[in-house]
Amino acid sequence: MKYARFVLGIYLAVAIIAASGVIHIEINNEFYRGQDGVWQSAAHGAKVAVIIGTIAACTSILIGSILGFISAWYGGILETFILWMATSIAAIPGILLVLILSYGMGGGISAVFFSVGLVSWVGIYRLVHAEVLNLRSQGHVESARSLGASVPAIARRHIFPCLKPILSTQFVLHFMYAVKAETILSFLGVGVHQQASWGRMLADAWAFGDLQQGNYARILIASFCLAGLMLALQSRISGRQK
Amino acid sequence: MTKLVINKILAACAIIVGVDLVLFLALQSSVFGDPLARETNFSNSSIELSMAAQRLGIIEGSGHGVLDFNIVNEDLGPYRISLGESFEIKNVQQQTVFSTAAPQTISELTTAINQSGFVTASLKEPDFGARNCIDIDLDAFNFEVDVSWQKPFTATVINRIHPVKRFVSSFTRLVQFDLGFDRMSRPIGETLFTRGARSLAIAAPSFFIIFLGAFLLAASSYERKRLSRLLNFLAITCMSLPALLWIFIIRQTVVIDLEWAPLRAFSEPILPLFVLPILITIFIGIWPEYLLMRSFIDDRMKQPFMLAAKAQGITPQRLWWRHLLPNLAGPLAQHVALNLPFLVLGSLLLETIFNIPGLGISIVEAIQNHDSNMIRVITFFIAIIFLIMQAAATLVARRYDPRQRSEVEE
Repeated sequence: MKYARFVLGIYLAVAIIAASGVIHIEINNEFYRGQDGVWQSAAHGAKVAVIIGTIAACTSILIGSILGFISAWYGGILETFILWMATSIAAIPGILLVLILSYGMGGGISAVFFSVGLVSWVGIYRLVHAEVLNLRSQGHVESARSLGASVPAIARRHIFPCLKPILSTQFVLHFMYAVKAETILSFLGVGVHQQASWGRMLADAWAFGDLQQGNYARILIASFCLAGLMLALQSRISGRQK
Repeated sequence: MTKLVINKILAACAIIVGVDLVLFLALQSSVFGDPLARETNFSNSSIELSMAAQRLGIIEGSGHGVLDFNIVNEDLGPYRISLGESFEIKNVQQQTVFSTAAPQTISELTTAINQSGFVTASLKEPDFGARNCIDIDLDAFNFEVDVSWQKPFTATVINRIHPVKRFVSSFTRLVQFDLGFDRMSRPIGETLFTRGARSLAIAAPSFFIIFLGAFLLAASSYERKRLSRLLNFLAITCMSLPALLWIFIIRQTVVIDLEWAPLRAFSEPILPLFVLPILITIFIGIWPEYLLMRSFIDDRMKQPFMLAAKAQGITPQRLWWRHLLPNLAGPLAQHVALNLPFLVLGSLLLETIFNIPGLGISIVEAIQNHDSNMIRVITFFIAIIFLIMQAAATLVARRYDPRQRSEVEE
């Protein structure tokens, strides 16, 4: 747990340094061939991972929790409609829908995090929906309602604070999903363009035959950066569950 | 039971409509940007735009009317030209005449004008469908219009179709299995069938080996702490590294360095080409399944009915066969059903790396070729398979899981 926090701190620090422009990287032929600036690319990959993971997880939590609350609180036709929408999205393989939406939005970093956010809210919606159904009949919420509190006030003061542990765990899980999705999308050509990212590094390493040339640096650095982040995040989740 | 089946069928129909609506909104509506721009890869070519518009069903030819033909030259003024009749373009400077055949569609008309070499025509974008209008740029040539142009003609009007109507008509075609054609004018149904079979040839054996292997590993490591620790360590190590790294390294070692697997283009005999992708799928896929099976078994073993059965002193074999396995049937059937269709796509990366023309690579190709019809059809059928499998899993769970069976009987 302690080590996980330390490792995550390092990733965040590297991402902030890369974003501040201290680590400069030039996107040219040498960059694509991986002959130059592999470590710089990895640092920029950390920046891209933090941006994509954070925004995608925030988007999915925002959509999932708002829709989950609305459908559980108001019920009726609204609930049926939102449930239908969620089930329809869940019937399409997640990574395929992310691929399609990312293509639909024209690719790039913003397309990746929005498409992941728009696809992965369904799981959060189900969790929040079940929790709100449970919470709305509890004493403190009943009291707030009988005292005439408005629905947004009840949501803000009495429902969402109780959902904080679930949502924070979901944030980490969706962060991990978004970073993995970026790797796959970039490898398939609809992810991050004209920027260094771990997915791009793997894609370029494959395209330029790094392994055939005995050049393992780019593949290994990108993979271990990704693995380190995943393990640290996983460890955070396990720590929280304990 | 009949009511349950009817409810399930109605729910499945609603979800099928929902799935297609999601795909329509993502690919063929303007929600995420102009679909025509996407389909033509942001091309400005009027021919490409009009072909893409027709392919996506955004425009159609219907009825009769007059087509306005604007010539971008103030001296000459606007002229009218019809579809379905020939016309001439004269170049006074070079004393040449270009005659056309009778164009039937706007794109043919545009092509005919452009073929003259004297003038350049371009469709009005992006609302050419609504305006039924073509702009002609006279370039630098001295240009004379044949008198017949000035006559109003009967013309086929190209209408822009309302998105709701487009969705309804395309959905109707899909459920009637009229899948249409891809960008290369190949029937999508044929591609789906041939390539789907190849993907299934990788996914089906891999899946069953993963499923059985994971269950056997989980069962054999239960109550064996050392083996359990070793398997958990292997699982976490293998899962924490990206799947792409494993694929690259195994391919490099087995195919390039050791030359144990063939390195060639996809051609007969194809079976040897499937062996390595299947083995890699098993290697990557078995670990998360093992951890899941382990948690299923651990969870069921702690249930009161299992403890009661143990306290009665029944043999371990009977405990497993009589109590554990029937109670695992429900969640396992659900798990298998929900994962099988997704495994077809699990080969997305493998097919791309090993160059096997299956469904996964079809989607990647369709995205690279900006073929939204193809993407929509493949995704739609994967979702339908998912729904069928989900219904089958519910039936299996109700048949074998004692708790669900008793609920149905009540």
